[in-house]
Amino acid sequence: MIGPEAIPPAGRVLSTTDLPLYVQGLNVAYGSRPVLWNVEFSATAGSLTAVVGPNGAGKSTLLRAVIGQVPRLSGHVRVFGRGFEPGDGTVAYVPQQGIVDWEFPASALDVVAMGLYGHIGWFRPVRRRHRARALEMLDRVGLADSAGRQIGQLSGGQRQRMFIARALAQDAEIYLLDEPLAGVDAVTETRIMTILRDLADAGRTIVAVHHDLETLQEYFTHALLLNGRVVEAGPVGGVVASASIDRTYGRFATAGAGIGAG
Amino acid sequence: MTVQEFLVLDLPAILTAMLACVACSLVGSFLLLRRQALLADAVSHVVLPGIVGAVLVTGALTGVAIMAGALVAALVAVAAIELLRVFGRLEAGAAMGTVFTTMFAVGVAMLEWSDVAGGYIDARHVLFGSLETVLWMSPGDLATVPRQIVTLAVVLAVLAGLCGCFHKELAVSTFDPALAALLGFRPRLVSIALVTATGAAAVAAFEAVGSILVVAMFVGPPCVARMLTDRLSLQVWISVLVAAVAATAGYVLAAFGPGLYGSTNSLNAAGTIAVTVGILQVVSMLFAPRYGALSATRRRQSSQSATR
Amino acid sequence: MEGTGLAELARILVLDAGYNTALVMAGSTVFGVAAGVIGCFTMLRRRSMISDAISHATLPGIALAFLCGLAVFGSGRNIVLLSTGAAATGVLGILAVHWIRERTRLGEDAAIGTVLSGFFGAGVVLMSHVQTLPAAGQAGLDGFLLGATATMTADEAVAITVASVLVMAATLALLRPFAAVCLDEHHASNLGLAVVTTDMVMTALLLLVVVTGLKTVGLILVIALVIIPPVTARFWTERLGVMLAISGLVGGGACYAGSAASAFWPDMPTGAVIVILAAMACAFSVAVAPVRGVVSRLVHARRFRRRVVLRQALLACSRGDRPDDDALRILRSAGLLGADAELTMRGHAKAAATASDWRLWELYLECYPERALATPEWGSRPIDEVLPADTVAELRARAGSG
Repeated sequence: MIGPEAIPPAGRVLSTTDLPLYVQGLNVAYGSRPVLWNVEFSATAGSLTAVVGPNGAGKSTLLRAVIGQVPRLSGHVRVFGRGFEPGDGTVAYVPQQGIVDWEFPASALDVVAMGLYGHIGWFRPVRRRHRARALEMLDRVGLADSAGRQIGQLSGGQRQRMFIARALAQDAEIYLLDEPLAGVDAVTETRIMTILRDLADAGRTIVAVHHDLETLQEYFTHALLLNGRVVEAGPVGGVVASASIDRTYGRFATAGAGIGAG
Repeated sequence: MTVQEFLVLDLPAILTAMLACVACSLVGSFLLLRRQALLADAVSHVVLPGIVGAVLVTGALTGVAIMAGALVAALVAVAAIELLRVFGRLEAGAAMGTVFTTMFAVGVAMLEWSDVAGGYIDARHVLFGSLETVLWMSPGDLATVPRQIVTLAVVLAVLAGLCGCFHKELAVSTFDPALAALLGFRPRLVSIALVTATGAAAVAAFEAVGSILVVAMFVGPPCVARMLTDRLSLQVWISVLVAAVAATAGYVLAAFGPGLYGSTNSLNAAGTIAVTVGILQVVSMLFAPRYGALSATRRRQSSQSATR
Repeated sequence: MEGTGLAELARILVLDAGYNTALVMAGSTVFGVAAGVIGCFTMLRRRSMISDAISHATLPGIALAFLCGLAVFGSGRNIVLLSTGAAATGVLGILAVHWIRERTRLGEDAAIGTVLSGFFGAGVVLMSHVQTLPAAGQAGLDGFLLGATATMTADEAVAITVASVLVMAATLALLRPFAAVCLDEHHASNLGLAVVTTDMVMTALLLLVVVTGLKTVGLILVIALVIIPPVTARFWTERLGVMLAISGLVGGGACYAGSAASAFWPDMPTGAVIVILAAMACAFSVAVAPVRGVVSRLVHARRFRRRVVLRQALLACSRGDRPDDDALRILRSAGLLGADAELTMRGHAKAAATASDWRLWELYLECYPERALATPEWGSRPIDEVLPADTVAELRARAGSG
């Protein structure tokens, strides 16, 4: 287990086997439209990285390419120095809310228990202790009361927390979250960020697509500015201080998108 | 009607219908949740060229051969549909419609041009089924249990076993294929397995009810269950129950219904089963306690009057 | 014998094998064209499978109309009567699909499956009742299942021709609203087009085509003619007009050849032959069509990938990095890498050119990110091959000043 003390001092050059996540020369295209161009970035253990960029910048695609959900034209993804292996339990992924069928006949507890399926393995049934564990995770996100409710009856914030609980149940080293704060209220937002910070403090690696530039510095330790390619990546303070945000969102971006507009 | 008549004529037909309905509805539950109900339609059509092809190749209508032929046809069809979808960027419906009509047409042509038509199956049986021809010649003698019943029982047992063992894998790859892939559950493999299961259920039921009414059994009972519950395992059980009830009621209606108005003829049982399923669906869509259209309307009205 | 057979086939093909045969072939062909044309719109609206529900829903109507005809006129074999019955239950089927989709939690796929099997089941029951009747002429009903042009009468052929021409005329008259709704629903409704009404008219025309085709290809395979020709056409073009023309041609051609074959070999399942012919055209198109065909797509994808990797290798070289092995291989095969694993002169020139081109692309991404990211092939080609000249000039000016 990697504790917080294992976080290397800034500036030290790491070998890729130490790095939880290292992406090199990643190219992704939909048909003949490039989406990601030569993306290179790494995330250290205990870091909270925000992936930031305009619409269509390839933020979700980056996360999905890391876990092999979209085909890569070229490039490598290294997870602790090895290729990404589905099923080895190192990576947890929280999708955007829109992509699942909320009418699906499952309760919040059922969905969180799905996070444990990897630990349970092929054809073994879900047992009492697994359900207890899932309930524990729901409790951690403050949803224990709604464990038995059909998922369609949960509010937007509750759905998001349920997915976070499912990721927690996976007990992974790396957490990839696609807009975990989209459509949630302020209380839920604080709650989710506390959970993510706790995970980072425990040495896990968090990479999240994030939209709100106002809270960037408060919530995250690192930032990855993306618009088809990496504009800048590094500790959040340096990234925010530079002019890179304008270069990411467009030099002529209208007010509201840029941090200076706030 | 004597007991002997019932055992020879009616019992085997009821059993066949019931087994067929239950097998199809078991697979259909998952197809419905994947919004792939029409895959059942496509697969049940492509089973025809598979069966005719197998008969032409082996020269006999044996259970194993037609099952193999039908499964090969189902997998070929799904591969072709995927090819059209991925490379042709076609909507799933258009890809499906192209493939299954083509393969069905090939089946019909093969049927007409070969001796298979005269010998074993004809177009009428393909379309309407031949439930009435399932007979138990000497009741009590297990050796003469009709072949269709044995095939269906085996298929149902295998499908039920698979659904039991892989319940969890089916659920996760249906709900969230991305998570299933991440956890190493190979959602693509699960999809292929489901298509194979669809093909197996379709071919086993095909002989009894024909290639089109099979769709009623795949889609109908799961739809009824879907209107009634929000729990996956309960949904599967309800749809199995609905399937069994509809099969029995449908057969009774076909065999004895015309007697009510004094006719000695009987109706096509596959058709009456499909109609029974349809009626149960209409009832569930209207009156289901929570999701039925009427109760939804009533709830809306009462909440409006409450806010007023 | 061979000679007379061929001569007979030739006479059939040039519509010279008797008045009746000629009419039947003309009717079938016109129907094929109409089906191909309206099918394009159904496909573009992503609703191809609704025709499956419609066609199966016609069976109870046919049987009921037959029974009514029998009771009232003493004979049920009248194509107008039977078609009216077919259309009536077809409409019910459409309404049922719509109701299930809108008013219950079930999706369109479940709605279509429900309607097609429920209605068809009712039809099968009614047909099994019809068969027990002593009345003659039920044989005509079987033709509706798998199609039989050989037994078609002149009156029926005329009715089919008239209906098909009507559908085509209506489709061509409504080309603009149909096209607008298919291409961009939201834009169309912003322009004040009633999307719902347009859809309804489109579905009504589809119903008319399906009912018209029942006698020619049969109710199980009629949907093939509103799906396969448009799919075939889709592989050849990105333009609606061309697509309609190709689709009509494929549908008409398949029906022409199929009904000719049926006139020559009267026992043949006409519908199956027509569908197989259309499917052959489709398979050919899927494989070799230049626009969306599988071969052309694979070649294109391969070239695109190679171009991207080559460009990145050149960029890496210009930065002084070492490209990875895959990239080195492509550099070598492009003749840009010498025997010493160093860039050749041409390679250096190319790397420098690519680097300065990439700076313009980066600038474009920085200035107009959303536009840039939506541009096909951005970054993977020299910028002036992709963007208009004035945009490139603006970027060059900025690069110079910035």
